[in-house]
Amino acid sequence: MTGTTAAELDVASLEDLKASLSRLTHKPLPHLSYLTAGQREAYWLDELGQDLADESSQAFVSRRSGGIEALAVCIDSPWDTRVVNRRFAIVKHLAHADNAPDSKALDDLLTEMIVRAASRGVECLTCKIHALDSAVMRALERQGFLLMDTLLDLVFDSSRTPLENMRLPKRTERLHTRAARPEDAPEVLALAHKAFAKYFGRYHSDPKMPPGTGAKVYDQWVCSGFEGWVDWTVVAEIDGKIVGYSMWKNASALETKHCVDIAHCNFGAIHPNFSGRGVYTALKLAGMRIAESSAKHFDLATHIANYPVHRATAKLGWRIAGARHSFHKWLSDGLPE
Amino acid sequence: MIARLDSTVLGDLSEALPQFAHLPLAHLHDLSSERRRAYWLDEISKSLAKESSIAFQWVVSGTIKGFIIYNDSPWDSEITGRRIGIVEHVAVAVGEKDSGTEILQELLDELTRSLVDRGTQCVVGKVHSNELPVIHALEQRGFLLMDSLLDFVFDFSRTSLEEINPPKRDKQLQIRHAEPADLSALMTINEKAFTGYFGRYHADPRMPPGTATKVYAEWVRSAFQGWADWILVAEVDGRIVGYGLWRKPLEIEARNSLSVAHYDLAAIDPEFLRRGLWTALMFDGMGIARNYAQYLIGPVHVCNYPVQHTLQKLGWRISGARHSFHKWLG
Repeated sequence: MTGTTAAELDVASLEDLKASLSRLTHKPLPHLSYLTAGQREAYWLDELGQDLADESSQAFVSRRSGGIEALAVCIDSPWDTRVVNRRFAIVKHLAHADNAPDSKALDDLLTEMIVRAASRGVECLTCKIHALDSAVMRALERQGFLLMDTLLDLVFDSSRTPLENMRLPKRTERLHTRAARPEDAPEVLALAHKAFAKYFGRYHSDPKMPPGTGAKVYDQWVCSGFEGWVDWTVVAEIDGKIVGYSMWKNASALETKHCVDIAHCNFGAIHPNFSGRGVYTALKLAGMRIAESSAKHFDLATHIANYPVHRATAKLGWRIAGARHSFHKWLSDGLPE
Repeated sequence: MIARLDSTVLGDLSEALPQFAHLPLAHLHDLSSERRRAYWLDEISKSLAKESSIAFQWVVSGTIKGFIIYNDSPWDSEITGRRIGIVEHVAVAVGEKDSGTEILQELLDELTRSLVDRGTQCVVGKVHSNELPVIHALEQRGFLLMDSLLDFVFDFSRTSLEEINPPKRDKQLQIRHAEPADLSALMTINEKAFTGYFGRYHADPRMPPGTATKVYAEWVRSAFQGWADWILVAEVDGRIVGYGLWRKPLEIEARNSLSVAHYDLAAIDPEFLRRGLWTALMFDGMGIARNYAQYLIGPVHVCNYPVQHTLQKLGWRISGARHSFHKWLG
């Protein structure tokens, strides 16, 4: 029996990694059940290649008896860093062999990663993991990561539920939807500010975030959306006033390369004074009708406690297909011993 | 400062409850604060009355600012062969600039010391997903996340059974009340259905091997011994291929005029999945439940997507979410 060893992983070792991927628990895009194992692994390998090519990446593997037993890859998050004004990095890949014991290899990799990140001046590490990956969850918690929120991944399959067959509740005649225009940005921004003031996502629930971070993050998402980060935005109006918006993206270049049939509903909000009036449903459906021209499947992530969204999406035929936990670790809390 | 908490301070606690962040019965969205608090106080009183209870309060200037109540869990202990208990209540007053984390940590430390002395081996904590200060205090004190549950609720005042269109039934399917002789058939289904499952007993690597399937087996055995109020079995061509366990409002719920019934557990023989049996069992169970309650409550693992989907199609709504944590002592 050979002991484990932690070593840095670079682009040159990708071939080596390729042979081990099928044994590792984490698989990307677990909520898209129509993907084959081969598609997932090819996508993952490409994604890892891209991430390793990132200048800020830190990647480690743990080997046992020559094979890779665990993998950890961390890259800087310039977006979070800019918005929150603290240096953020994301533990983007954290996986272990499915027959590995619970799991010294993961602990060793995380310890190494935390020490290195701290030495580079990273202030906060974030990590999202699938809710069934309990060994990884436990390793994160043992290393001082704290649970910040849980997201449900919802998927709509238009080949199973054709949009034209959808029966919707009657909506007020005063409500209509249209594509957003650049000049809508300030009104949408004001709406987002109101809608997310008392929200409960991970930026709100982390007590170590600087005050006001939650609102700032959502503001910045709206701005980025209007600056081209999303592919289309739908707004809902009642009597000429914007009362909701929904931002959508086509499949990424990597997803397209690997034939992942998907469009993403990324972000949206309803003005609090107009909730419960069918605005969300109208907006979602308008966005889905546009999405249908590029993909059969659509996905969105929503907070586990966002019950109105769970209800509205369920009525429209979206299904829960995944769950992920978000963890944060502030490195000022102390390094592993 | 920390002090022991017992039934003699229930009056003080009653006054303090409104300042705590915890929302009892959070999944029942239409209840008034007063009813929630009355129920909570009743629950606390029951917890404190148990022989195994260990409880502490954090008092500042004569006001209770936080408390924790623990009890042994004989059922878990017997099945696993490990001494297991549960944090039944933990709550803290939240100020504008104070999440209460330090108070929670002190309470957890004090409790842990007592439990080590008692010989408790594993402590379980279940927390509502929005109670971040409690979640963080648990994690900072060595509790590890084991699973997450979604609380589904069906409200008969919002949706009647007649409005639901369940899929056509398999002609060979019969659903009937279980009889004592059915127990062994249900045990066989359990073995098959829960072997590869992923609940908190499966997720905890420190549970003795085989614990998870044993837990589900004992659950069914207890149901036959009277823990459940009705058990339905599904038969296809005379063979039992599924079951569902249900309970009427519990005594404490009835005492507090909470009109709720509970869907607790169901399983289908894996060979008979995707034939609408689960939906049919659920639909018939709901038909009985409506005689006893306005609301139906059913917790479902966050990754049990087929069950979530079926419940949503039948008109159930996600109304709450909870995380389970375990901490092994020693």
